[in-house]
Amino acid sequence: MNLPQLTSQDFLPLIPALILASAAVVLMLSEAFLTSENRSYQPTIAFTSSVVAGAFALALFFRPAREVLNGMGVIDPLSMFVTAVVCLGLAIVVLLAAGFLHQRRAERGEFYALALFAACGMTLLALSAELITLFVNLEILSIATYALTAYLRRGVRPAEAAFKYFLLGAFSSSVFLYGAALLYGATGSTQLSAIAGALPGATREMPALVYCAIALIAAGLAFKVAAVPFHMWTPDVYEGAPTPVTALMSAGVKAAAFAALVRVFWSLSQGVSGGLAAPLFSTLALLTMVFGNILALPQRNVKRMLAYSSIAHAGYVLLGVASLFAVPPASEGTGSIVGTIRLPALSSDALARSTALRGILFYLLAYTVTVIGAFGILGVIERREDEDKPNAWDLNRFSGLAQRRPALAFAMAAFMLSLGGIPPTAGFMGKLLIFQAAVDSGLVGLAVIGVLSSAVGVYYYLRVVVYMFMRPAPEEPAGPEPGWATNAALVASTVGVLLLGIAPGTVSSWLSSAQLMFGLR
Amino acid sequence: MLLSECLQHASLIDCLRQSPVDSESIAQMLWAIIALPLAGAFVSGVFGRMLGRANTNLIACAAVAGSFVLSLLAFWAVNDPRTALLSSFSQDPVRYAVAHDFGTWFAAGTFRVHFGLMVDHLSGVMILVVTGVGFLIHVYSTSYMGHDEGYGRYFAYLNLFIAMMLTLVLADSLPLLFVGWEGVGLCSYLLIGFWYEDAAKAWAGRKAFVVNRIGDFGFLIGMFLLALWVAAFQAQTNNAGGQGRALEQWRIGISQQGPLTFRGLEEAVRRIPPAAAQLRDAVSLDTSVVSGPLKGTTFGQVLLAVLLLFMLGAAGKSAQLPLYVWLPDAMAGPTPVSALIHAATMVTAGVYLFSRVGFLLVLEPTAMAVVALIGAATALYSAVIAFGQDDIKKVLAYSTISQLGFMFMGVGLAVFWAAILHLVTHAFFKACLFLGAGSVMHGNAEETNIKRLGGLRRQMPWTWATFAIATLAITGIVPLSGFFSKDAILHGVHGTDLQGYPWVSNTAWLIGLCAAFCTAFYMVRLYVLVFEGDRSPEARTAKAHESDWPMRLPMVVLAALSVLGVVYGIPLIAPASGGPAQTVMENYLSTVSAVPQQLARIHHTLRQGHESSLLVAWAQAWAIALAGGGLAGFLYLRYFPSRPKLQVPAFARALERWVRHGFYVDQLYYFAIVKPTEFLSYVLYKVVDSFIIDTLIVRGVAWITARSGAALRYLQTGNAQSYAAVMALALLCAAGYAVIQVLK
Amino acid sequence: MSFLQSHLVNLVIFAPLLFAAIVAALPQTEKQQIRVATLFGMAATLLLSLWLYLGFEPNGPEFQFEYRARWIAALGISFHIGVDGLAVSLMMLTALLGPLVVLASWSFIEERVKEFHFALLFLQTAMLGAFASLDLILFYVFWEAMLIPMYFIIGVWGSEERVMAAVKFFLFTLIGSLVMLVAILALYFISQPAGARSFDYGQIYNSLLSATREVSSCARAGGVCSGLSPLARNLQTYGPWMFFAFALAFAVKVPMFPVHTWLPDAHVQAPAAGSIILAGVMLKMGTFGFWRYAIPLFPVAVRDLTPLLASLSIIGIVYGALMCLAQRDVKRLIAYSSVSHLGFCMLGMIAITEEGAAGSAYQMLNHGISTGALFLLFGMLYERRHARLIAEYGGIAKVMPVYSALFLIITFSSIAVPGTNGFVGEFLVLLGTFKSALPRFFGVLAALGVILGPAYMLWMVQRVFFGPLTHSENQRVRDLNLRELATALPLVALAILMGVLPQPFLSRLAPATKLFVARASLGANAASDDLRNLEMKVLDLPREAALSSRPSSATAADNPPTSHTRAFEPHR
Repeated sequence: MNLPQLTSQDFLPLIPALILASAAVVLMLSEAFLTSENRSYQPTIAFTSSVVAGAFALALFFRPAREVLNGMGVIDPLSMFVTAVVCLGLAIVVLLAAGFLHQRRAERGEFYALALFAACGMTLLALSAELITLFVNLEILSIATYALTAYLRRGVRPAEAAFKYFLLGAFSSSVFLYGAALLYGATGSTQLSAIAGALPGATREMPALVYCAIALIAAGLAFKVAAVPFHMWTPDVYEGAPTPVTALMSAGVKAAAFAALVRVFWSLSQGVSGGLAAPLFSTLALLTMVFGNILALPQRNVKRMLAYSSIAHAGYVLLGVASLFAVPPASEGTGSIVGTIRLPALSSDALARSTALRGILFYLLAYTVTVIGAFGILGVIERREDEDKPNAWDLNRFSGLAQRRPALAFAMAAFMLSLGGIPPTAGFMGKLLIFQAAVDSGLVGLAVIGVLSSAVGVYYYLRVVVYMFMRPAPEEPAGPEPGWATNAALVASTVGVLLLGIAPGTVSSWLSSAQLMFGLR
Repeated sequence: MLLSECLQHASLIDCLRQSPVDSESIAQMLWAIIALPLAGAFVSGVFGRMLGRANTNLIACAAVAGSFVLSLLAFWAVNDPRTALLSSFSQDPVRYAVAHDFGTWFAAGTFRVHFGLMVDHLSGVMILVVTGVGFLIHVYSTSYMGHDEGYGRYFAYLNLFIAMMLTLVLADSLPLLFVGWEGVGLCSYLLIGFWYEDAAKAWAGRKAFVVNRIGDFGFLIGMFLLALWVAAFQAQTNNAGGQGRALEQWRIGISQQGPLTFRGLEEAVRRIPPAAAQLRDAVSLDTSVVSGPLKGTTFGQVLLAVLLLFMLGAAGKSAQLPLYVWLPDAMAGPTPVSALIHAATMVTAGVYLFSRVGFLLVLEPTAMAVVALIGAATALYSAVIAFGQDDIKKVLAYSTISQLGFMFMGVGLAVFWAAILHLVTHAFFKACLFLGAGSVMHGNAEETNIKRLGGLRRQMPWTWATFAIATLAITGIVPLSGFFSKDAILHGVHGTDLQGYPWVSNTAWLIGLCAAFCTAFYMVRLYVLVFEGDRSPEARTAKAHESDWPMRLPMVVLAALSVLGVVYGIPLIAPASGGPAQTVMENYLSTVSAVPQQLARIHHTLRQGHESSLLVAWAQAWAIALAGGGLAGFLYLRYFPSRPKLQVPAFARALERWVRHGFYVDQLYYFAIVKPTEFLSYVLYKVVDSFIIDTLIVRGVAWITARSGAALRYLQTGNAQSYAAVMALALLCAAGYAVIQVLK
Repeated sequence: MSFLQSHLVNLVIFAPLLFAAIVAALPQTEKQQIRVATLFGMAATLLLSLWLYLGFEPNGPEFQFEYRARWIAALGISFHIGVDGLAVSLMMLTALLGPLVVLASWSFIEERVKEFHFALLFLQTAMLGAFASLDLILFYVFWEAMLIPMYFIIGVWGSEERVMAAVKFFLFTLIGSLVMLVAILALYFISQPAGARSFDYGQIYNSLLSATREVSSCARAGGVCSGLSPLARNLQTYGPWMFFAFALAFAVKVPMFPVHTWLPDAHVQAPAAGSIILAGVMLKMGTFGFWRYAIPLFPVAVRDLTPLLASLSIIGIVYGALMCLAQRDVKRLIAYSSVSHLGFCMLGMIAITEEGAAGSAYQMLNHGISTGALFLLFGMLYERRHARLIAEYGGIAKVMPVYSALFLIITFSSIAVPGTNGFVGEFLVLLGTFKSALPRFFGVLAALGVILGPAYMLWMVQRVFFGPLTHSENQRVRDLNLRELATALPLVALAILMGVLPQPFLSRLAPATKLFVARASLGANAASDDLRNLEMKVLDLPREAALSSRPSSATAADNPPTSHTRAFEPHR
């Protein structure tokens, strides 16, 4: 047997993951051996490691795309950007968590370690180009997040949430695994590139098998990105999990899962005619955008509302994915499915595709910054004593926030407007790019439905603003002052939201740079 | 130059006609005629309280006096035979006119309006009347409003009115005329509602304004159509009958001055050959417009529409049928205001308008017929209503409407000079009557019901004398101006036939005679009930007191004028062209009415009507007036007083009720127009706006969205099995779709 | 070109923002300081924009004081601003209302003063920016950003039903503008070939120009014709849709007939300041949008929809007036009168004649002044009595003579009495309508507004100011103080000045009007004239910046537009 020839190049993309993993191990060991009660070093370690990892990822961003580790993974802007986003999210979450846990006297080592492991899984998921690797990383991040969900052990809610998450997660993973197996059976390989090569033949011989495999894999990933109808776990889990964890899930897990989704279906659509992927994702996008927003409408519980809104935003990203695959001429008749007006797209395929991918990535970044900030404020607002009460995150908790804590209210308003996609915020630029991609690839109808559903969204985002600015403050005392770490996190995300809204030039020009994904054109 | 020097080589008349100031400098001063009262209005309006009553009175009167003097100078300059105006519309200079262009008001596209003022014999007469009568009434007001707190406001409005009226008559283009037209309406709104604390008075003001606006709506559209007409004419006519250079000149004028100047219009219609003459590529009235928005109509039709719309506007402003309803209510204003605005000046604007655009009017017999008949109908109708009025001011109001009807009759049959003459004399005696009425009210504790007055003859000698003279004048007793002017109209009407409508002139004439009879009747009735007989028992004060001199003086002057006005009505001057002797006024206005007459001759719209010698006509008129007056005198001096408990038959009482309520026209309008509009708006608001659009559609969509969200929540049962089930279901669908794809 | 030449518009736009920062820095409790600072900011803006207004050369190029810088090169979005005749006039109006608004709320706004004035200044920047921007995305950003402060002004400082009104206002406008966003994107892709795309207005317009002519000649030929360029074919197919999207966004703002119901609520609930800005400036955003974007970009679609648009405007005029007759609430009445007045603006625009367009543009300014003044003045009364119903007043003229005089003058300007600004505008609009190709009865129906206007305005004046003083609360209402007088007088003076000497204002609008008509009529008549006259001459991106600090190998999409003709060639 001959060992594969690996060069140092092959390990470059792994560096961020390795940093995160080693930091996690260190924390674990320290938890095992250190006896002092002082845990303040843990967030420090977690924060620094995530920052360093993120920096490395950025440094690798402009590397030309190529396969590494014999095609187990790839290094390309897509993976590196997602890695960077994940690390950024992790860093902010860690800052938030420090204050959050301190308040709840729950600073135990596992938390940061698990968070780091989860992040590690996400980064690897973003770059893995082989089904087994992909599955393993999926599991790494899933198991870590299951544990994190149940991290705060008091009360019934976390346990229930974690159990549901675990159950359904297991279900979806098995679905994904089954799909992978079928695909292997059809093509005789688990490497995406090889599969892409073998698929056309396979499709000709055993189409049913291939299509079922694709459907199963899609389902598995759709669960992770919480796309309707695979979304139903989201509100319960998001509500039950500790708020910083929810932030991490809604931002990081989504980003990584989307990276995997794009990668897998990219190579699949190379094999099968894109006519399958495009309608699939158009439908998912439609359902997710519409139902996500409509379901969020009646929520008075802000945390649940944000959960639903995260579903809706997954919908917008899916719109980007759909337009990535809907690029003509590969996708005749897409219109028939969602009844879209179809412009004959005037762009060349490659251009349109990179537009779509750019939109997706920018959106992920914008959403991460925004939603983590929003959950951060939620974490500040909520009080540990009424975690189990039904009204823990009721809108009333925001009444008169503008008088009590103007800064906090201002930040929250910024986040809400960004989620609603109102300029001059990151959310607007994100939507602009996504819809630009959709229109470019001819999904005008979807785009219109998207903007209208986002108008629905604006209603419930504004409701929070109404409570903060236009309702008198209740008598009950306000929650404790957030610590400096929390403040820093909030400031960071607020600045990020406004900066990405007003001057997105740099990021967008990075994303417009050469070849975003390995194999793209 | 000195008069004596002049007399050495010219007759006295010619020397007097040479104006002391040359026409050019007068022309440049024309703006001051308007500016003076405007400034007066501003000062007394803003600083009135600061300055105090006396100063305000002084300023207000001085302003009007000043513009009266200027008007005199302008008038003089106009009469100067040396005066010749170079109009930009034609090479040959216009004589007997002074004009100056004070720059652009506004311009857009091909349309433009200039601040162009013009005095010719027509507007010359008008400005003299406006400023002269205006001044007298200002003087009168200083005493009449002597105890009112709002004197500053009052004189501001009054001065503003003078300014606006002067704008109306001095304007040399329709849009600028419209400024004055609406401006006087505005002032009348303000002055009718002067005592705004009495809601009824304020409502009367609003009614006047809105009704006037209905007229102005017509006027505006008329102007627009006329502008289009000019544009089409400009586009279509070219070098017709070898008048190329003249047309060029006219085009230049249009481009410089805008399409709606009177000169421009006049020059335009003078280029129109009669329908009979088939000149090549000339535009006659039955040529149809080939391009532009007017496409498909003939020039004649458009012109007719324009004139009828103008008539609507005139009906609003001059209180003719069917828009007369605001004038009786307008008596809510202070009496001097009624004298100035609602008798002497503003309400005559319609007559002035048609005399101004006479050259258009004479082209369309149909329009002339309409104008004449509306005038005649109004004259009789309102005279009849005047029978039933017991309020002294109401009687005068309806009489005003009726007299205006006479004027329109005259205008309608192109006897412009007679209409203007009647306008002037009417201004004198009607103002005098109103001032007299004011004085009566003043002296009798604001009593206006003539049944509760009486026997004032001895108590208010001055008022009595002037009022009597004015009454005689309006009834048309021989030596007085009213007789000549009114008869001039009737005679002129009778003497001209409309082509295509031969019956019109006779009809109008007969109606006019009846109206004259009624006039005599109700005026004498009014006079007798107020001044003769003995004081009514219900009188508010035991003894009336005569007014002081600022009130007497104007009445005296006006009375005198309504006697002297006679001069204009007597045929003294033999025209240069030969033919029968013309009255002074006819001869004087001939400079203005020459063009219409010429056009009428070319287009054969007017024909020589019933031949009757002037003396016969005079005799008829006098007889009628005497009959009417005599009957009234007999009834109210002898008949009724001697039968205190006279049984009036039911039908007579019913008739009397109808007449007193003006045949319930107000109520008719209220229920036919006002109420429905209000109802419509209410229904639209409640049903369409609030319910259908806002509730059903807007809130409906929001509601549906929210409900669907709430409904979908129930899917979120919270138990994991169902979640898994849903996912499995979705998976099945996906697989099913995949299978279908395969089978395809 | 001097620094000021190139940055004057920037200064005008961002001066308020600068002062907003100052206000934000001031302590919450220093109410007076905050007010003064805001007033200074507004005054500074006013002076600057006065400079801009006077500096604008009527006979100069179409867009003046242009400034263009790179913003988001990757998307072909640049920070491009500049003013034409209409924009500069409307900016002047906006800047003029600024200080008055501050003075109007001087004593009315007592709590959360800081936020209020911050919002005012931010709003000012957004509005000025929207007028000045020459890049579609930049315009959209300002356009949306405008909603946020206004939403707060209504929602926080409004009266009872404020929250409902604020949300209604926000969503109503948002839905329209979101659809417009999609249309903007579609336009971006359709109008230009891959590689040379940008959101720059001038470039998009120029690249559509020749195609527009093809389509219009084709439309006159009967609609079905071969040999269209691909661009023209796309324009023919999707132009109407895109126009609809633009028109929807602007029609909501105007507001035109079916989508107007947000306006009364917003006006009634908003504080005086909010109403003034809303009526004075924001509604003009809609008409301005039609004038600048919707109509010139899609003249053919406009030609096909002219009957519809015209009838909607007519309905707006008459219907709005009838609504006024049914109102019992002064602010609601004024709000509906706005619907009627803006109907005139739209009609004049749709007529596509120079008279009509000039009248429409002038009417925009008039409405800003007279209706702004109406809300301003009524705000003063409301501050004294806190009552909006007509029935709660009566005989006010007795106790507040000066106030009543001013109100009356403004009323006359709003019912278009000659000598006030309203007359010139309405006259030109109606004249233009009669001159236009529209059927004549359109003009007649529109002229009905001339009758209905005084019917409702004088009715309201009557009930509020005249008659006996019935309510005891009104007995001791004091007349205007010096500040209020100083606030109201400028508008009153302007209303008369613009009525007597309109020409200086009209002359600034004239060139823009001519171009608008020429561009709009491209859809109607055979555009035989040289298209170069219609082209928009706009700045190119600054050269030196062209190759900027972006990573190598940029895709073609990111190359900034280099000249308004380059994007133009491929369709020739």
